[in-house]
Amino acid sequence: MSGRIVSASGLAAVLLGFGFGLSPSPTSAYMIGTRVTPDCHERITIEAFLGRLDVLSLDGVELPDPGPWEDVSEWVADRYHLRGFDATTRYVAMSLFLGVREPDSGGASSLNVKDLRANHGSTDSQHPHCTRNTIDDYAEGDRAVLRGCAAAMATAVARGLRFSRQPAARQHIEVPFTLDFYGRIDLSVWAPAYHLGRGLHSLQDAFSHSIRSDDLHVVLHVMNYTDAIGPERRYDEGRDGLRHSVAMDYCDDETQKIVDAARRASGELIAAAGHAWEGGGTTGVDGVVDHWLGYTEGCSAPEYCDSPWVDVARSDPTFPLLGCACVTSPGSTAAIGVGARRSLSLLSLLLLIVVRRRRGGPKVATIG
Amino acid sequence: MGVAQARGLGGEPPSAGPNPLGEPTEGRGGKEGRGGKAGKVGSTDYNDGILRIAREEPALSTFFVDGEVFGSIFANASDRANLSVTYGFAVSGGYRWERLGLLLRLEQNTWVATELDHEVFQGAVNIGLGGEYRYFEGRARASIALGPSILLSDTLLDESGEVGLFFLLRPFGVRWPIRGGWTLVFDPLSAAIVAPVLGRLPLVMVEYRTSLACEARF
Repeated sequence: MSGRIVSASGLAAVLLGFGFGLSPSPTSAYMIGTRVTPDCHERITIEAFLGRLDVLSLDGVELPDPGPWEDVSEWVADRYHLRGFDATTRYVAMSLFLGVREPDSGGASSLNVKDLRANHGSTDSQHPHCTRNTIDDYAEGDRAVLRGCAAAMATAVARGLRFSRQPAARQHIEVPFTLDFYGRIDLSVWAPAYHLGRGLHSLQDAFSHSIRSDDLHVVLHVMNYTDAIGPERRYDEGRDGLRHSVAMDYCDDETQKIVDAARRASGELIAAAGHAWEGGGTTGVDGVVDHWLGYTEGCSAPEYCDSPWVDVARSDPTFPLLGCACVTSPGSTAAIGVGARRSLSLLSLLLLIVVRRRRGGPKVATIG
Repeated sequence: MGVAQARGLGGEPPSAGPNPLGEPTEGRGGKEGRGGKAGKVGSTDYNDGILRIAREEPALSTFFVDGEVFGSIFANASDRANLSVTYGFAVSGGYRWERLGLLLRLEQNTWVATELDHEVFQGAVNIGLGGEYRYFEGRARASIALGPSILLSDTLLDESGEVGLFFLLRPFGVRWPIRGGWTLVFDPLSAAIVAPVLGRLPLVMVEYRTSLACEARF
């Protein structure tokens, strides 16, 4: 049965790609789950959450009025084996689930070309995904990305913290979510966990979009997505950084060690946020950043200090492929310039399918 | 008016026999020519050795039944995935009076989840009562159908058994008569609204289908 599903997925992705021309491919690091991509962000987040339940106090969380959130919460519980937990825990898990998907989907469909364009097409909004903007060059670019990534985490968690200090009944917000067959609906979520999920997304991206030290605590180099899908003639690895890598995006056996580290870091951020929710003061993001987003300069192309992860990253680098890889001439329109930086959804999705087939279908790292 | 011409060997009219449509041939002046007896499908005439095969003539009154397979791939709704993979089969039957017909359609519509799940859902059973109009001398057909749509499988928000609406619009179906009173019907693009849930959070799917049917007349 699974073979049929993978086959259907491939067909679907191919057809989607052929049906819709130019669009940016997703810039997510660990992928969010769809029919054609594994649910890396969601699994890492839920597993980290379950690993920290012993230090989280969810007693103050009230369930919202009945609504479709109950059905989605049940679905999340089924998917991530949360049946044994109480309704409040499942509700918080669902809120984290929606939150960690938000930076990639914006609550919209993950397979809608227009929404993908909106969420991933900007060449100057890469920091929440811990990738370089076009102006982030050389080692200073590394530092700028890590500052931006930490800021995105801090902003998201702080927003959740503000909600946690509201009366319990006002800690719920309605957020968009796209369901198969129904389209976009609004769901009630627990705002502190939802925004924490958004921050966790940035933290997890900091692992799949960087070359790290052997102990995975220190960043040696930050990858580049937006230039990697742009005109090849303009791309200079020494200046722009290592290309974004599909291989690093997969939470499979090859990247198990990195996935484990991302899960530990996520657990730390969840624990820190939980402490803050209980009145513990600051968001705790700084401690997590110090622990996991440190930076050591000096590891640049082409060796990157001989990090073993470079080989993994280079095994599936992101290219424009059949995208508009032309170089715009001086005087050409801005629109052409932007178009030149967009890849084909076809090719991105085809790439995913090829990867899945080569690896025997989707693999997801197990709880470490 | 003919769509096909075949010159007989040596300029002679070809011998009588089944025409390429698989139907008996008869001159235009025959009793089963245009406007002739019900059930006549094709006709031929000869002019200087040129065999002219007429387009299918609309039957005056005929029962028909067809089996159909259909599928859709894309959707254009802004609030959901561009992929909307659905497929299914349908059985239709009805009665025709010359160009107009009345039909009853029963279909099973399977849905493939793309957004979150890795599952194939049984989807809905749709029942439609409608009409058809044949044009281009019977070689094309437009039809509509309207009726209930019944949810067959549980979804994330609803349980099976919900009943809503079904609407099908097929503006252009190519009819290709084959032998023995059978006709292939190809609809390159038709639009269906399958809405088995019309409640608080409606489940409404707009499907752009391509279908192939085989029709038998009686």
